[in-house]
Amino acid sequence: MADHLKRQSHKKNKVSKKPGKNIKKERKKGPRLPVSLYRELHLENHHRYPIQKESECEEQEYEGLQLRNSDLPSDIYEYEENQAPEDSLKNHRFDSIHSFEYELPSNFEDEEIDEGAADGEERIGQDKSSKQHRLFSYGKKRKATTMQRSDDDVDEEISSSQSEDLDGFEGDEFNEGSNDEDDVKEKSWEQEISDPEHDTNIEAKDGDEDVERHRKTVEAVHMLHKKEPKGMRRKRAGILSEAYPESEFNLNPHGGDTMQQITVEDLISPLQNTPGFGSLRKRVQQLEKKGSVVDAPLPKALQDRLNRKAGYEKTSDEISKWQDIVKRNREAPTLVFTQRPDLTAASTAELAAKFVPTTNLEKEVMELLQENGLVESTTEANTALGHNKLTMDEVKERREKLAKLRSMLSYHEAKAKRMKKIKSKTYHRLLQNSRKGNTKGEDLIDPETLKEAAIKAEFKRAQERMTLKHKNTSKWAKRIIKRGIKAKEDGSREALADQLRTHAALTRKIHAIDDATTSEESSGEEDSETDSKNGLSSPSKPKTRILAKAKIETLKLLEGNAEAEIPTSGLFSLPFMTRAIEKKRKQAQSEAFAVLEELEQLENDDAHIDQMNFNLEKENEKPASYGRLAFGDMAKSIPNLKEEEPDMLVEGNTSDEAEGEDVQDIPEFKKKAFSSRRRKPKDNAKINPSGVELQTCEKPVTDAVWKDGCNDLIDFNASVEQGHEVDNNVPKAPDVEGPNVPAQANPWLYGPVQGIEGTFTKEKNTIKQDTSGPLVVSASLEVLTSPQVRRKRKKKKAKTQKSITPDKGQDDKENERHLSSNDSEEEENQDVKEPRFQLSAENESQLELIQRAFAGDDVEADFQQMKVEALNDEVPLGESVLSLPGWGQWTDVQKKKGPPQWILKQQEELRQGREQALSKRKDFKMNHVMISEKMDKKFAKFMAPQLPFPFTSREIYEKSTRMPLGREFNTDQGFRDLIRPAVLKDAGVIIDPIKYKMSETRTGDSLGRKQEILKKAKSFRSEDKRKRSNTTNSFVSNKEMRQNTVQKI
Amino acid sequence: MKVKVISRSEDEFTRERCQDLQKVFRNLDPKLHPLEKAHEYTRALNAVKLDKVFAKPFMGALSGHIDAVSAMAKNPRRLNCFISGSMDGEIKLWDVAYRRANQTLLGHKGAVRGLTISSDGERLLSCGDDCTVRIWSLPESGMGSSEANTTSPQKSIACHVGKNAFRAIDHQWTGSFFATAGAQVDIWDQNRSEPIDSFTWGSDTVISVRFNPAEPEIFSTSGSDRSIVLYDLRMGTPLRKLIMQTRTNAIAWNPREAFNFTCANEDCNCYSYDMRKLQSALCVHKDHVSAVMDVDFSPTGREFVTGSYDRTVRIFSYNGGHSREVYHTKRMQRVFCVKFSGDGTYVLSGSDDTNVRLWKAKAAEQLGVLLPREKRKHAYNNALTERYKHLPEILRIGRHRHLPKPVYKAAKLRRTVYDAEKKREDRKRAHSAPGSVPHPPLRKKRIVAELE
Repeated sequence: MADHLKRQSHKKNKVSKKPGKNIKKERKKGPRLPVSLYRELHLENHHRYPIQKESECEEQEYEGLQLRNSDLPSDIYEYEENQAPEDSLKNHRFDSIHSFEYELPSNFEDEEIDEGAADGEERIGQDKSSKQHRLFSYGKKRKATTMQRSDDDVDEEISSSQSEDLDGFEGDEFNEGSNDEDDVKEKSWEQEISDPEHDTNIEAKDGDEDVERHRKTVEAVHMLHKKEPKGMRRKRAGILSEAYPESEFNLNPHGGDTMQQITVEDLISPLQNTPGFGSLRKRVQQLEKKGSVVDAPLPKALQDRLNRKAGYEKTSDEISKWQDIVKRNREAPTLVFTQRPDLTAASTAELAAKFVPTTNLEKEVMELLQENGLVESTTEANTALGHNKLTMDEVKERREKLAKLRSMLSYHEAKAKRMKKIKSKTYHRLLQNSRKGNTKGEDLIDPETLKEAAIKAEFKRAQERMTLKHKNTSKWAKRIIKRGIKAKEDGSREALADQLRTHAALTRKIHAIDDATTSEESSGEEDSETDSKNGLSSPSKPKTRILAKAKIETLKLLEGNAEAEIPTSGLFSLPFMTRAIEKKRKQAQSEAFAVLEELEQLENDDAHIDQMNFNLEKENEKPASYGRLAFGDMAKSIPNLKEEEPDMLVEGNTSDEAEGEDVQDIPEFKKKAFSSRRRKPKDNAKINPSGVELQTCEKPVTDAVWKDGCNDLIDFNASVEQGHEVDNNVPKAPDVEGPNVPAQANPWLYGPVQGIEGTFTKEKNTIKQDTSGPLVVSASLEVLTSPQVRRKRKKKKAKTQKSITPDKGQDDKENERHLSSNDSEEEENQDVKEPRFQLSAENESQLELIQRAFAGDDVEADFQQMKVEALNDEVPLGESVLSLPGWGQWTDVQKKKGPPQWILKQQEELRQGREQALSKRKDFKMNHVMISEKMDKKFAKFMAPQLPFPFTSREIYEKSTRMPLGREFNTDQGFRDLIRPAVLKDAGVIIDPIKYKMSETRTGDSLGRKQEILKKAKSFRSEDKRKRSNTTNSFVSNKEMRQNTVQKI
Repeated sequence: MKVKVISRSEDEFTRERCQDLQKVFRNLDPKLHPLEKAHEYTRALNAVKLDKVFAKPFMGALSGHIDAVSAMAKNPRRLNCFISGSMDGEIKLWDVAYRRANQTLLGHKGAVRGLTISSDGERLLSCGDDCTVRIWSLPESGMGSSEANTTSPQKSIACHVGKNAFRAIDHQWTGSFFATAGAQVDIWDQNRSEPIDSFTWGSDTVISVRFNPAEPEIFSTSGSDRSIVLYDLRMGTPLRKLIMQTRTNAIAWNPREAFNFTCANEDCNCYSYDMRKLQSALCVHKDHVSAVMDVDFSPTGREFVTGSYDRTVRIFSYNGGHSREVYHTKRMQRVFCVKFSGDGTYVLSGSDDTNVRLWKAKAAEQLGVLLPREKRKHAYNNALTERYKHLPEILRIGRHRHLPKPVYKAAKLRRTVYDAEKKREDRKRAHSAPGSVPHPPLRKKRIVAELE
């Protein structure tokens, strides 16, 4: 329909552009106006366009009148200034039509709407017609009947009813929208044009003055500029559609006559002389050119759908604001709807002030009170209090003061925190000292007194230096000394010491704070730190000092080792554990001895000072520490391992390991034993003497010493293979296998390694042995190599013929990844040199050791027995008659015969039944696993048949029910928290629907999050406490634990 | 020598009054309290049994109507103000505490189909089959007074006549608009005689309308074309239409969860929906054996009550697939309307037998003032049953309900039918190409279409 209209309008435009050709179509008929009106119009036109002919003017005037109310756009009616007279004459031809009665065209059909047209289109048609109808009905002051025009039949009805009033004009209106064919269209156009004419005519009678006024304003606008309107070229819109605003009040749509419309050009032409007019006009023209045609509206059904869609999206978005609140409420442990009493209750004074006497008695009392001035006094007090207000300035001042105080407080707090965080003991010592000084001289704040005090102190010091008064030079002191120290009483002795101390204090050089105040509390760590610093700063200092220190350390270690006690309880107290610990300790001792020896050697040797300095630079960066030596991974794993089983503790004589070659050159061999990993010695390789770098973090002193030795050796025989040299260097005793001096050959450590190195088959054997045992043992060793290692080995074809190939490539890769993630850094950054070992002889000793360590500990057999017992327990044989005393043994004959056949048969059956039952068990074929399938019927009632819905795992469910709820088991507050219902409400209190607040930090519903957290924390705490105190208190939990548990050893 | 004596501060043990309870000191050492789980289990068992013993939900019947009760309304401002309308056009104002009618409002010529009270609690609005919407003014505070108002029957202060019969009416929770449902949905202002707006989508009758309590501009309707339609007054347009396999008889919005609503369906189930995600129901609440006629949310938003054509009233949890409680009496007939009281403690049901019945929302709840100790005891018992509710024995006892024979049989039959269907489908699935027979969840199964 819209397209159709468009086409129509185009056509009309074309027509109007060529008035000469199609003038016939363009002639409009207007209603007969009264003669007087014509005359007046005529006159007016003469005034305006004196050049124009009368007829033309008349014509135009007609048009204007006709079109003011018509729905045709303005551009159809064009004013051509130089109209040929014959054209104008032609116009007269149409004046002869006098009948304005509406006649249906011959080929008119009432319902010509395309049947295929969309529903929406039809509606548009209806709309349009209804609008037009409204247009008229307004003029006629008829009630709107548009609502009822749902179909054409109704339309017809209405039109017929209206035609009585409107002389049948309206009938056309409804057909207009449905006209399709051209000829029909033309005709209808004509009629349409004539209709409003008629209508407006009627209206014009009423609103003559209005028209007049309008005309005048328009003229006034036109007169703004001198130029005649003839010269104006007006742009025509390219389309004719329902382009006027759809309102029944708008009877004067813009599509009026040409003259009476104020165009943009009219408005801008007065600006012609002003600067920038050209650009303005250009812009306006551009705007006109570009002004696109507005599309016809979509079908109503589609529009509605789009509206609904948009509306739904909008509403959905908007209502999503509740999401968080809803979520919070759903998760809240308790929703509270109880009415909380207003605790901000008024004071008595407030209540009294609010009180209004209502009853007679009250009124009387009030009167009496007022008479006596009692009431006023209270009010006065109130008012006085009320007036007692702070001024703005006072408030400001107060607030600022408070703010300042607050900021100071927070500043001090922050400072204190910061200071507390500083870990340096030196700093704290200094701080303490300075504080002491402060407390002493707190009153000496002003510089005068300070100065005085300083002078006094200086004087005293000088005096002391000169007189040596306190150096026990006094008579008293001399006498006491003379009498002998033994004779000295306690008091005098102390006094003497005191004096000496004062002397020392007074004669001490002031800058020597460090030396003087180093007290016992300063740790060895610190000492070593300062020492190392000294060593760095003054390289000329003798190395002997360091060596001495190292010696002392070692000795200390030795002592400490000896004193360490063996745990008496727990896992470590087991006999094999203690044995292992003992062994290790001895080993460590021997190591320490070895180190000591070396230290002594080195003490004599002064030739290595320069190299040592060079090496020290690196080592000094890290503080020394007590304990065993550890390198790389070991250093990390040791603290953890200490807590683990000691037999898993893999420990190395690290000084052995700390020699080697560049990692890039040398393939590395790694071994993983449970959680700890350690480096394996490498194959032989060329030494790069310049690349010798040792980075060990623990115990730098010994390292340094050791390195010294290394470097020496390197100097001596640089071309020699390193491994051997190192072996030589380290005080090793391959022939000595006694427990005292295993030296670098720690059998705990290097047994398997040896296997790898020398005879690989042995290694394999050990592994096999291990795996054959129970799970514990099988898991203990996991040997792997990196592919790099293998490659390198093949290339070099060194001593080792075989490389260990792990069983599965996958495992290899996995482990490799795992390892590389842990170790790669160290391996790459640290060039650790590791010595080669030749410990083939000690492999046996290692195995031996293991065997010895687990001598009385036959895990496998124990487990088997346990399993048998458990099975007997769970699957009993059943009672046979034989087990009853006396059965089948009444007489000697019976005894000789043995048990009768039927009893034996029964026994056999029972045995078979048990075997069957056993074979059905899950752990039947698992040698190292025991799965309890015991079903306790009595306990079944304490168990949920399946996991309840909100829980995702059995553990969580069990945990949720572990904490008892009752008063006996909980504190009062805990009890209240635990039993609080999910919804708290009072009977009789109306619960209003939820209200949205912008700041939903705390909804009225949910107890605050804080409370929730507190509650949780509390329950956890108490649960924890219970667990700690009570591991085996209830049969329930024990049974529960026993139930369906899978025991794995 | 060290002598240990028991020392007790007198202050701690002296009671203020002789009625005061002696302070009890407990040793919380777990070693002294072994077998706590077994203890508590037994207590839980006792608690759940006691719940059964004390389960007396029926409070009383409000009788007075002479025809079936078709509509009810509760006052959002006053608790005791409760109104019911019957099929003969009578509206009664009840004094629930005394269980008698305070007033009878006569005016409707046909059945009263909808009742609602304005958000300020001052006006009663009713609509009915006689194509009228009537507005009544409610007595100020007389609802709770003991003496029955026997003055001359009150007349409606306004009567708006529509073209078609009205099926339902509901007032905004805040604001002055109300909506009526019938041939179309009309939005009215209390102060105007003509609807200020009307919505149509499709040509079928709209049978229920309910405003959202939290979002006063949003409301929903259900129609006889099996549709549920959402509207927003601000948008001036319907928002979305959901078509289900069977008709929805009533809708109730969750007053605590603005976007969730539950609808009572003809297929014996209730469906909870999130208005933003209508592709699937949030939850299907099953248990009724006949059409669910009405549904109303508890103001706590945690449960809702349904009345069904199977002569039972059930209480569901807002997210529970099965009912927590079922109420029925021998004389109660088809339930047409149910309401939760404003404090979430009581439930009222209006049924075909001309009675309005008052029930407790929690069957075993002890009413009246409780001592703190009693309160704690109840809370403890509830906590225990809640904790151990999954254990078989407690589950069985707690879930057991006596049902009228027809309902029991019908439920059984339904179960059989359901099982048979399931079996059939399983077989079909087993004999078709994998994936060709889909496994639609029940939450989606009953949805036919979502129209934009």
